[in-house]
Amino acid sequence: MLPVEWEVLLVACLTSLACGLTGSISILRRQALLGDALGHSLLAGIGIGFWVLGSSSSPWLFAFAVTSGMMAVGLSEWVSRAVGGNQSMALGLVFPAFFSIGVVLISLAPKSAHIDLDRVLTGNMDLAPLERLQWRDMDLGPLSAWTLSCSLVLMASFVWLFHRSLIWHLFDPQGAKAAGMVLWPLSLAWLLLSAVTISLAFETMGTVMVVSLLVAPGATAWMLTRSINSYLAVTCLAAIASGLTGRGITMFLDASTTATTAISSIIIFLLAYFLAPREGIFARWRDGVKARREIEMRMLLVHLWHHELLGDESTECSEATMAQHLGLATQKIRATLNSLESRKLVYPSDGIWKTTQQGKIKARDQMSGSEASR
Amino acid sequence: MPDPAVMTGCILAGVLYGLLGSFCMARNQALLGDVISHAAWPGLVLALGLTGSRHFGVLGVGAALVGFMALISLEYLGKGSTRIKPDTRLALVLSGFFAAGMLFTRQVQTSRPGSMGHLHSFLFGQTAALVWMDTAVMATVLIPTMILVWLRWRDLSALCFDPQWRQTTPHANGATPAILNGLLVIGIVAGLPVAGVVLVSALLVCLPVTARSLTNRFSSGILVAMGLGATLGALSPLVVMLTESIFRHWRGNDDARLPTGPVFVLLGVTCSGLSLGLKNMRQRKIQRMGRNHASC
Repeated sequence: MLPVEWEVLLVACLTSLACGLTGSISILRRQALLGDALGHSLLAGIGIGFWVLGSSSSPWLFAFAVTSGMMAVGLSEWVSRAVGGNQSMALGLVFPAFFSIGVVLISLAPKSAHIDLDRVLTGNMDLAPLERLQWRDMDLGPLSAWTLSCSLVLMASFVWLFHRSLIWHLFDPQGAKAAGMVLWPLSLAWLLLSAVTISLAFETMGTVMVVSLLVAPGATAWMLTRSINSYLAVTCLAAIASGLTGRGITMFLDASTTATTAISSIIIFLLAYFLAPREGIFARWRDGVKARREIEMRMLLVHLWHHELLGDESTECSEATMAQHLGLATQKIRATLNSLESRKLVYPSDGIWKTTQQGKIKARDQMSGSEASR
Repeated sequence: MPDPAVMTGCILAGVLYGLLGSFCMARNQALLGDVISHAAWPGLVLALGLTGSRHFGVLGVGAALVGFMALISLEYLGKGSTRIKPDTRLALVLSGFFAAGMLFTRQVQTSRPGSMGHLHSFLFGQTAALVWMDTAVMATVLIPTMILVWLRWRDLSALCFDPQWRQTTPHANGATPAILNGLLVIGIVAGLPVAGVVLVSALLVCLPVTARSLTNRFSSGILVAMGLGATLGALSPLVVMLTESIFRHWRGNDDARLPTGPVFVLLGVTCSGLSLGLKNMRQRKIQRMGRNHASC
């Protein structure tokens, strides 16, 4: 049997993997906030289920939660169609209403109910190993690990089986419709699976922090990859990494595993956001600097070549006059000339700069190229 | 009857959210309030941990500061890279800031035992905890907000409905969007004792939606939203008291405690549902009349 720390780690990794896979598809559908909405609307089902069933630990409560999540999504679709396509308004109206119903019903319940409203919002992963799965007096490990792996297997097999049609549906819904594909069973199945995943994850993650596990791994992969397969693979890797780092942070910091897992998924996203090799902030800044330097070099080369043709290079091609005429700092001109020299395109000769044979060819290509494009 | 401080606080919060929500909805930023209010949570926790004060005036400053940080990071994420879509941005900032707050709760709990229970009234809003101090904070935020909106009315409405045109006018002030965002953050934080962190966004949506379907002008819409907010704000503590006493008599449990936030939201959403339904019915009727007229 695993020690408790390892069980928490297992639950953290499974939760983030299941949520990450679910959320990656919702990002592609441009519905990243659906997870937030679903998580909040589950509470109405839990409240109603509690009053109907009379207990807070019945497995049927889960069915109530999933049903109310689905109903809220359906209702918000209907509202957004009724008010003319304002989806964020529909989300902002329907889901808080469901959440409020849940909060009212739960707070009116007698104290023995043991549904803790704070825990609904914040979750507690450290308590996950307390609920065990038992089979004939045999302890099989934490219950949430089993349920989450089930939902993970379901979600993964859904993505695997409907890979083709899912891609078509996500990237070209009009084309899919025109080809005669019926889209609603796919949407409904995906919605059902995400409602199941979120209501399973919600006991460990809470309704708010589950959103970062849903969105951050997908957003990380979105910064790093360009094809759907690598997108899904990187999502899974980022999700597992956030589970591991989350548990790792709790060794140094006295904080709940829920919060550390959520925050480490955000940190991993921020790392990708700044450091991604092609799309990251630093990469784009570096590309911009490189492009600007290249333009400066070309401009200076053409300038030198032009004055050599005109024959006034002795007055025009010294560093000081170029700096004056081109409106650039002398250091900048010198640095650009040095890099041109290292490419063997220009060379210095008594105080002025001249183009080499290679430099002449390059400058002419530059001009003819720009004329041709004109 | 509920305490006069509670009644005044709820009315002021309703007016405040009606006013701010109208601008949010007009700028198509219905979910911005959700992000700011969730981000206010780490601010409350940190302010409590650093100062140990229970005054809302002190805690609110922390919440507003972190709210501004959330707003700035939201804008930065949008400007830095076009790859991250707006909905993903909102979701990341919302949950990230909330998680950052939860990171510190355990430390605050151990360093200041017993004080976290006070913060829990901010999650869903609790009228039992509302004192004159909170009401005073709301009034000091509401009155300057109303004056500013009055003074900059033309610029603000241009910003909401035609920002491109506004840029061409000579009176366009670069500070106006920043002022509006600042008012939004401070206003959302000021109403937290009534509405709670989770449900503020619903109030910012449902009041203006109702007002919008009842009126045709922005200015009258704002007045209707503010009036509706005041009415529902006055009603919700009454409903809370009534329900609690009914439950005490009916089921005999004395610990039935109802937070105000959800009650306020349910009243508001019912109103907006009714008004949207009415509007739809009226539109259908007009369409039907048009069809009959055409077929004649």
